[in-house]
Amino acid sequence: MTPVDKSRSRRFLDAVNIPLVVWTIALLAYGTVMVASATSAMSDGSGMFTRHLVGIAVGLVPLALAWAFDYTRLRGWLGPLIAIGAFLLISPRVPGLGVTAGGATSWIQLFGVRLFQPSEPAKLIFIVVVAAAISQYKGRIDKPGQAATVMSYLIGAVVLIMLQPDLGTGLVFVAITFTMLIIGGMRGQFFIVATILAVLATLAVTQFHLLKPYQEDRLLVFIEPERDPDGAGYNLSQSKIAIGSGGLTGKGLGSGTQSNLHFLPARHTDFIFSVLGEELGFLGSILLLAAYLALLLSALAISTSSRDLYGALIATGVLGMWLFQILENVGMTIGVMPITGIPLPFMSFGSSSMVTNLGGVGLLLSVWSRRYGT
Amino acid sequence: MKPRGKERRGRSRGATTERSGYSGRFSLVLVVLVALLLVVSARLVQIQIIEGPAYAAAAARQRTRDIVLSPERGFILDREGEVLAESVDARTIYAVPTAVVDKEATARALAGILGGSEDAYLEKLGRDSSFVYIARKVDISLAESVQALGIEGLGFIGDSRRVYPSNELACQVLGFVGVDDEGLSGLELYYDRLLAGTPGRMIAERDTRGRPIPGGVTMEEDAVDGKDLVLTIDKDIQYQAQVALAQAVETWGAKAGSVVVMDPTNGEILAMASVPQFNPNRFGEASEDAFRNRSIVDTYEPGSTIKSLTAAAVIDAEIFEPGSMFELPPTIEVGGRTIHESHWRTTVQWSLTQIVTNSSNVGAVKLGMALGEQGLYDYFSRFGLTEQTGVDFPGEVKGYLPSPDLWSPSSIATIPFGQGVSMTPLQLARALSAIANGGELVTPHFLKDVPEAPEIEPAWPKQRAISERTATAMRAVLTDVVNEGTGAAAAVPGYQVAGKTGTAQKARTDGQAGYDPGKYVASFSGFLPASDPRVLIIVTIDEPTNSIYGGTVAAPTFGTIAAFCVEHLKIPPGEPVTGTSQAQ
Repeated sequence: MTPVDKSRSRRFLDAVNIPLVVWTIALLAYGTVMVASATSAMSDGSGMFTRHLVGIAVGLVPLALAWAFDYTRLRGWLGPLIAIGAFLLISPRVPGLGVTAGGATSWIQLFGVRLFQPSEPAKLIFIVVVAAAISQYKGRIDKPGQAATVMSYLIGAVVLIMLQPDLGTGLVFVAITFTMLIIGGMRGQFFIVATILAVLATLAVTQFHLLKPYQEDRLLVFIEPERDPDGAGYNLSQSKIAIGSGGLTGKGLGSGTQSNLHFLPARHTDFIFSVLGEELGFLGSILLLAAYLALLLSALAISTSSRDLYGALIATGVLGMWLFQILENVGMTIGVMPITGIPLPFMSFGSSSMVTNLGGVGLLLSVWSRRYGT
Repeated sequence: MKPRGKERRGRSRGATTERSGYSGRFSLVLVVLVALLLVVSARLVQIQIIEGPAYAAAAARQRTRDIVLSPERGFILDREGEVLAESVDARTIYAVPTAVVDKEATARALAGILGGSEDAYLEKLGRDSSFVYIARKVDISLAESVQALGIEGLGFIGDSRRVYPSNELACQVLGFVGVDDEGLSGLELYYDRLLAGTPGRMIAERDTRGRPIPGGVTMEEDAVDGKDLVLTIDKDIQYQAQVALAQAVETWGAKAGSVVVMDPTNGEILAMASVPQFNPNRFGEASEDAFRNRSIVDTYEPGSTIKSLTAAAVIDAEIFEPGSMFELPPTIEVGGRTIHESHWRTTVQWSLTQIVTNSSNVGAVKLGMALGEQGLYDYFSRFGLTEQTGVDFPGEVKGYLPSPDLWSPSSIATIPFGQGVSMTPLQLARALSAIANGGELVTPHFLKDVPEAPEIEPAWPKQRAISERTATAMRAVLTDVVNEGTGAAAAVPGYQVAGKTGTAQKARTDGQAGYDPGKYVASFSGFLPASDPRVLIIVTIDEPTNSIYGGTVAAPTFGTIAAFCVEHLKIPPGEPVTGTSQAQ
């Protein structure tokens, strides 16, 4: 090989964060196996499995675009990005565009074809925008006005999400913001004040019944499962039975009696972890958590190695998004978090979240590959 | 977190200066991240390792269903093979609430077809359960209408339903069954083990919609159907008895009434009726009072009826003959108590037979005193007054006859004519069967045969109470009661009937001693043909109002039923029986 060739291949390798890519591929493989198992007993199982693979393939597009695009130049696109993000969040409420399912209007459709869940890609736009807002304070947010400016983005997003309403997704945005604010240097007191204000706002909304009863139910089912007419309590007990009965080594792939016998609701989407816990047992569950830990550490490493605060904040935002979704999704299946419709990153069936998470990988790679400057 | 090696190598100059104070923040994120994942892992240890076996058991419970395969309950037939109780095919409808998509529409559809309130169905469909009964033992046609709707989440199980085709006929005797086909009263309860059969079971793996999984049957055990019972009851006599009794109760404005029709030679009960009655197909609508099979579960003071037993005792003890003469004053005082006749008369000279035919209290006192306390008690015991009859029916009671050491000084005067002693009509029937059949007490019973189980041969023991001679003599005495005494209304043209009237006061029920003025039990007990009795009938009318006398209120009903029996059973009239009173 010539020196030129060598340096070229080296530059390419420098642009790739090997651990991130490896663990992403590992999780995609793990998820694909589990989706195959969970859908095998379904009437349209093979069709759904194909759709899962298509989702991954489609997700490679935003991954490549985000990777190729210099994230530092995103700062110049803040206005359009805010507009697109806001439109995405409000789009389900646009007459003729939204689809109502399960009490929330979180999907959009065109000509009767269900397209995607717009709040998913909005997460990435939110990360990029808020990272820009935080980074302008150079790593120290110690004035209330600064905190209020950052919080106004969060409040704006959450209000739009509550129109759907989808408290779980709203909390993902909160988690993203708070994780970034740790890196962004917000004073501890502001975290406390923000939390108190959030609790007060929630109380005000429920106490004065500012929402219609069904909306209130939809919101509070998060903390009071018995509000769910379809039985979030039933889902939880079925999920725990499935995971618990998996024991140490599980019942084997495709042999999960609880999941294959339709006891488990949404077993290929929100409750995919229950299928994994039943079929692969404690060892399979811990293996998944270890893979997630490795993925998150890769994201953290990318954050620390960023050439600027903006890149570090973007990486932390993606990390916060994944961490919260992992904790919330796995947590709800084992009864330590309330039940809500948050998919498990890279594992759950569902194109919207797959595309978003692969887009997140693209953002991380964009930060990583430009760690020495451009 | 320590800066990465590349930064140490100083290849990221700008970033290093900008982030010089950041390692603590990254460390905080790292610590939070790891801590939260550890919490989740700890919870997994708890659920999968520590509580794993318990969840595995819960999973097994959930996915297997123990399906009970109901056996068909045996039929109940009368002695001629006519159906009294049968099991007809039905369907049980259940729901898997979680699988029912549109609960409101389903509830509306169910209410429309099956009746009942929409809200009740909606409540069932809203339950957090994987199995709930919608309606049990529904007519096949209704179930098929529901099935035709094709609602997902509803299931149908083959079942059978108890039907009593003749409605009120022999209702208290047959009893009824509960929703699980379990006998709740009457013969349905007494012979439940024979009738019920043995349920089978099928343990099948199933999914959440309750559908059995192909090849998932882990155990199957066929149900064994119940056995048919053939009763001693004669459907036609039963019908006549019920109609005649209901008519008498209505005519006399009585509170209740009962009839026993028995073959005195072997104790086979041909009919047993009680009023008020009910329809066992809809027993839920009836008052519990109507469930009482009064001949077996209610006791009465027999009153004058018992004089036939007192008379039989003195004859059997060879103290007196039917023709023995007595001087009877208008009243007699015993133990500080004055005994009156029911109708005032002067002092008379009457034979033993006339004491019975005229139902003289004073005469009965004289007979009882001749026997003595122990003698009277012993004979009444031999007539079965101190024990249950042994009938094959649940809840039989026995009357009250205290032992002599508990008697008051006047008991020896009152017990011989039926006060201070009580018995069920069936106990009386059993006692009289000894007079009718030549001296033996029979065991009254309902079960004639179990054709599918020939090994079941129930024994209905007999025991001697009095000598054949006594029985023959008493039949003559009791024939005179109908021929020329108080029981004339019980006569059946062409047949000689033996019997005895009874008009007893009822003890007060308000806790005080003594009798309730105006409350009587009128009865007639007898058998025919007198020479060779084939049918023994006890008619008891409780609290008649228009008249109180057994000869007026109960005897005509006896006559009606007896006339039907001789015709239906083609009983020949038999030899004439000559009463001793006629000889004088």
